[in-house]
Amino acid sequence: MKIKPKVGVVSCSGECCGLGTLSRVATRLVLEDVRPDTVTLCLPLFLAGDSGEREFAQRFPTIPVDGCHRQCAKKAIEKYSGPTAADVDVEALLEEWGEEPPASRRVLDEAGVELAGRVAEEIARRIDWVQGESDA
Amino acid sequence: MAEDYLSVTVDKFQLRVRRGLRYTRDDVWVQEAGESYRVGVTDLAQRMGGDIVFVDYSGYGALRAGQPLATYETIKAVLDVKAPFDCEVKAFNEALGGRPELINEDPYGLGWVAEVATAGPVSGLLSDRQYFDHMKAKAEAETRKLKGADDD
Amino acid sequence: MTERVLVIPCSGIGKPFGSIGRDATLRVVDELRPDKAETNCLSLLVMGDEEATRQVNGSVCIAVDGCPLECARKNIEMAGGRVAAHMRVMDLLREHRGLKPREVTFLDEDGEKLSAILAERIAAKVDELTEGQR
Repeated sequence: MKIKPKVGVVSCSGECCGLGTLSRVATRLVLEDVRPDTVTLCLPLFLAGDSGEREFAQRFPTIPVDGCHRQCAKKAIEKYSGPTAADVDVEALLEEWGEEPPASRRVLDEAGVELAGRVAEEIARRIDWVQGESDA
Repeated sequence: MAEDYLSVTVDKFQLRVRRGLRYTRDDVWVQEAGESYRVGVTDLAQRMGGDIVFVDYSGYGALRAGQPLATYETIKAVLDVKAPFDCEVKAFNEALGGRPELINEDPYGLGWVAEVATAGPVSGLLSDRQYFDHMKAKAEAETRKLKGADDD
Repeated sequence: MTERVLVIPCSGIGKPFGSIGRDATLRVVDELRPDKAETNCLSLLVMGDEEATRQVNGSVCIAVDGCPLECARKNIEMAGGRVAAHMRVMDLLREHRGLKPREVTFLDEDGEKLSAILAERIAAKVDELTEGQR
């Protein structure tokens, strides 16, 4: 029987732009649908420090999902818990795909939701790699 | 203090069982308080239920074991606090009216639910260790169910 | 010139309350009071981003928390900000017992209703705080 390690995923909170909303929705889609056995860590709880989020990230591989180049989730994990297992930079992904960020930061339209689904698949690929299920 | 509790970590959540109390399989704790008993819900119960928004009481008077002496409402569900044995409700924690989240924040302390009295013997309760084993199995089963990870 | 009020939600990702607070905040800063209120990422603040720190030091803040864990209020205060008003989604839920928001990723009908109510409350608080600055 192959034992897969638990994996944590932390999204940036991303109020400042549509990329943050995309990160948040993509992370939720991973939890709800794409890889439901992941553990979603809450960044505000992680920063506040009085819950199990930091301890989980110290013990298990954790993947930050950042909307933009400022990489709040990645930096928080590295500061309070340790090195990240793999990273997702949503801004870089969109550039690679030739896609524009969502116009609205509050509500994703149909195209935005579809884009979130593609980002969720990218997150899932990183999870599979961390768990030894596939190549990077 | 940490030594006052038995604890286990399931996923990112630490679940605690306070030493020295007795318990039911319905996730209720019982503490002797002079002539009566103080009753509340366990850490597991509050964690599984989620953030508590309302607490409603069934009223004073006699109850059979298993009947609800109070209900608490979260956005997920309305859940019962079941009487641990045949008893009579003597008091309710009035602080929960304005701050039901006390049950989430301090389930074994400030989040107590009611005080009850009984004329008969108190039996059938679990020790802290027995409840801990029960709680651990229940938490792990619930986690597996939620994640659909039974794929052996 | 009056400074804009900084409205910062917790944006907790595990519960509907975090999504509701976030949605309400964005309604306020993008639609209801775009000339009087703004927001920024809580994490930028806590991680010491220079621009975010300057912004929070120069503004009055409204912390919008989903639940009693109060991550927004705690983190703003840890970053040296002044919380002039504090709102909790759960408190609003107690005033509207019939509403049962359950979804986190995309708000359901009850979540949208609560968000709209909360947004009006935040907007009124923004008006009060900016009036006080005149």
